[in-house]
Amino acid sequence: MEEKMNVSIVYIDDAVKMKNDAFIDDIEDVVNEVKYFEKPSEGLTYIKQNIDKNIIVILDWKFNNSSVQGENFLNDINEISTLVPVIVFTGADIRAADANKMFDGNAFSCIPKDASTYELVTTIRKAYDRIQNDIRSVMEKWILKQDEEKRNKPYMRSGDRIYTLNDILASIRKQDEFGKETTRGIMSLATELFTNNMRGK
Amino acid sequence: MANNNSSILHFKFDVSTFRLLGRELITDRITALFELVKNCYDANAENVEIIFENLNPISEKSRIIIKDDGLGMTFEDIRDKWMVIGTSNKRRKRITPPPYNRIVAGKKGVGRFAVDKLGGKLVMKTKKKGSSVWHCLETDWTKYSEEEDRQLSLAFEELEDKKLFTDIDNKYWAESANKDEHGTLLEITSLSDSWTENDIIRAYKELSKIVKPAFSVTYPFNIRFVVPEYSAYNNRMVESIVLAKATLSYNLKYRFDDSNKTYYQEYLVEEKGTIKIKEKPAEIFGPIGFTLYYYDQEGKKNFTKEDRIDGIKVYRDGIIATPFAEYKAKRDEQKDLFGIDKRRWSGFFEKLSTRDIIGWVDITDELNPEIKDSTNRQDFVDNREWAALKDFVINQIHQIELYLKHKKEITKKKNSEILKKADNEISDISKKIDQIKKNSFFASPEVETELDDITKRLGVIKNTVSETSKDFVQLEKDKKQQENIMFSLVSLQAYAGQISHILRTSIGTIKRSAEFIEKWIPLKQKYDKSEKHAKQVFDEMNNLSKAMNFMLSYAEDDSTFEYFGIKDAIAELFDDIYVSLFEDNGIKAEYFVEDDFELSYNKKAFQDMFGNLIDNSVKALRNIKDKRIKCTAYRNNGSLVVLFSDNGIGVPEENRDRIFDVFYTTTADLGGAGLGLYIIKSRLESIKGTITLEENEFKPTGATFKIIIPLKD
Repeated sequence: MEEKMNVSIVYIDDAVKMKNDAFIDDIEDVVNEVKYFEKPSEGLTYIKQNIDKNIIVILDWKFNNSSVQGENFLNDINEISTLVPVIVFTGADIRAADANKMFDGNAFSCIPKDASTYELVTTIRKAYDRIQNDIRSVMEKWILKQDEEKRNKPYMRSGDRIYTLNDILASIRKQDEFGKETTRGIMSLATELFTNNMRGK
Repeated sequence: MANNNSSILHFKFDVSTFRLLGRELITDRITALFELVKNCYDANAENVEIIFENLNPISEKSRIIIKDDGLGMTFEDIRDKWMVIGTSNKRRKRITPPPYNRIVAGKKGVGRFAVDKLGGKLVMKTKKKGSSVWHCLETDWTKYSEEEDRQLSLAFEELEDKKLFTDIDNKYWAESANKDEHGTLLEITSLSDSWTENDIIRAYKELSKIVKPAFSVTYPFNIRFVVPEYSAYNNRMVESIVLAKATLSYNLKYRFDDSNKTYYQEYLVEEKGTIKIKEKPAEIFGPIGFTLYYYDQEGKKNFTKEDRIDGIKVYRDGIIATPFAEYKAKRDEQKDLFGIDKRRWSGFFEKLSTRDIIGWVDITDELNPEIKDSTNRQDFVDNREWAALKDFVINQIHQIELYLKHKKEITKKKNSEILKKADNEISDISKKIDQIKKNSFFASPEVETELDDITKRLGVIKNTVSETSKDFVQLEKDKKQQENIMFSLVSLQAYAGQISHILRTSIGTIKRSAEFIEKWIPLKQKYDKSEKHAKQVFDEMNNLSKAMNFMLSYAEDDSTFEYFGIKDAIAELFDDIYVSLFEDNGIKAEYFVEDDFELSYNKKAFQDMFGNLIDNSVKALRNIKDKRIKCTAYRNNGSLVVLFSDNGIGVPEENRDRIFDVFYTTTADLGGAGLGLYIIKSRLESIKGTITLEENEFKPTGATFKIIIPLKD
């Protein structure tokens, strides 16, 4: 049995038949859930509402009869959170211009529509690893390790506001201003400690 | 052991270096010849003689001599420059000595090794004016290769007396000479290949491009071929390409404005059937001269061979910048430096090709430093400047295309008006004669007979003019139709992208379903889902077939266009092909063809469209009690209109816009792939037809499609 990932897959594709695709049935045991959305807007809403979950998005690139395309949705997702890896899954020929857009939109990977489930799962695992190794995830894990009681107690003050560990957790996940600032702060602190250590030796 | 004892090491050259510099750097014999002739130019030669002797078959007597009356070399020049690899005077001095002041063509200092591509042995004789001896040097490349072979035959450790490239002896001697003589002679023997007449023709053709055709030089650069074996080329001067009688010619220049220190570039602009030369600041590639000649069919007659018209070249400081000597026997394989023939966006018929134009872009080392030769000498370095220059050239050609197009339209209109006018005039004259006849009771019988004769003749002329006028209109129509067919082929390129999208998606679906089955069946798990995916493989395969047939319908040639009766074609569908399907599903199918007529189209493609619609209807009707399908065809405003209806579940309001999209389906569970309506739409578009979803004919539920196919009169 493959190791299960604590992640929700959001699959956005306007080709309706893709909701019956074998990869969805194949990966159901290794992820928490696979949510299929024919309409990108509904997928985006779902991501917004479930931002506290680990999410990986699989995104179609070319949408029929629509001026809004994969690149736009990629940016929309980025605006919700940069923590969500997006795997572009497309049947179109990817030209340099598209590749640039994916790169600019911080896409995690691009997989052609004729890929095997194995290739898809491998990429999903890599994306999951990235989530896991992200400094924000490390903080998240640490917070979640504390017992519930401790998490609800005031933990720190920033400006006028008092934050509990749970507040901090929510901020980090949503990457609001406080969340971003905290992440940056801890990152520089970690670097500082790490380099001090090295100098000490 | 590496320690602090420092030491100095030097690079050495393996004996095989001769190959790297010669035959492996220069790709082609003609290029090699080209490089050597370039050296003559750089040496201020005015006359070059190329003598080919005993070329076919190859023997000991075979040789090529390249003789010029250039500056020649001193002994020191040979020893310190010619014999030192990579030295190029030309890199230091970009201009040859006065009064010629030619800007040098070679730069890399390896052109001399081009000889190796032609033959194994070189004797060079050279002298400067005033010297009393010819300096003679023999380089025997076969000695190098023998040494190389010897070294290769021994293990590396066994090689005690390993000779390097620089260790091989080259013989030098002096021969007495007349003081006034000067120049360089290269005698190449041990030729590597025989030269057929065709090879000579190639060499001749390519060398005819070495100096720009209309290059006006005070100091000429003449090349003469001496080929006793092939009389057509014996004692023949290499001529510049014929430029006489071009249909259109333009010469774009540039100027430097001292007041704002800016270069201004001339360029072409087409405006309503005229071409104007305008000016703008030079682009990033720098100011250029651009000369362009266009030849129409009449103009091309001036060329003995049409293939002498071969597009646009680049000349740097007056000499061709890349050795286009890379001759290709097949024209299609020749280098289309500016991508003139590759342009394929719309308006297929109005594009000029490299067979219609001759031109040259004049660049200079000084003003266009970023237009650089690539190291293999077969192209330019692909940088932004070169890309911009390409765009500039293509745009100039495009202006001429626009001009020709507008001119053609104007002429067309004029011709048609003249014919019409002539027709009217004749009618007028006829009327006048009739009047004369009526009023001329006083005319003699002879005059009356004459008048009758004139009327008769006028009648004949009038008929001819009307016929011609009709022919003219018909011709225009035919041409338009031809263009329409081309249009559908051009749009095929757009479809190709869509088709590959369809195929890739289908293949992926099949692949992952198969992968699923293969993985789970042996584990005896997910049995239901395996079954589902087995079915999916089957359905998807059908979709693939469908997509493939769609593509093949394009591959079929024009002969599949046939005249067929609309009524027959529809009857065949309803009474024959689909009759059992209707019966099996309990569908009452009827058709009405109000106006039977013939259509020139691919009958199978026509029937396939209805086949797709019928398939959809059968699915939409599966839960309906009283199932009906109805097809009505009639003619309206020069078009065939077909209404196709069923009383099935219909199309939900919110999906009306999407049903013609590729992959859009509401019957995925029945194997629908969202291809049928997309295919119909694409096919109709290619013949300028349409399909739309209309208010449904049957109430309360159902769907009605309206197909319009334009007819030719």
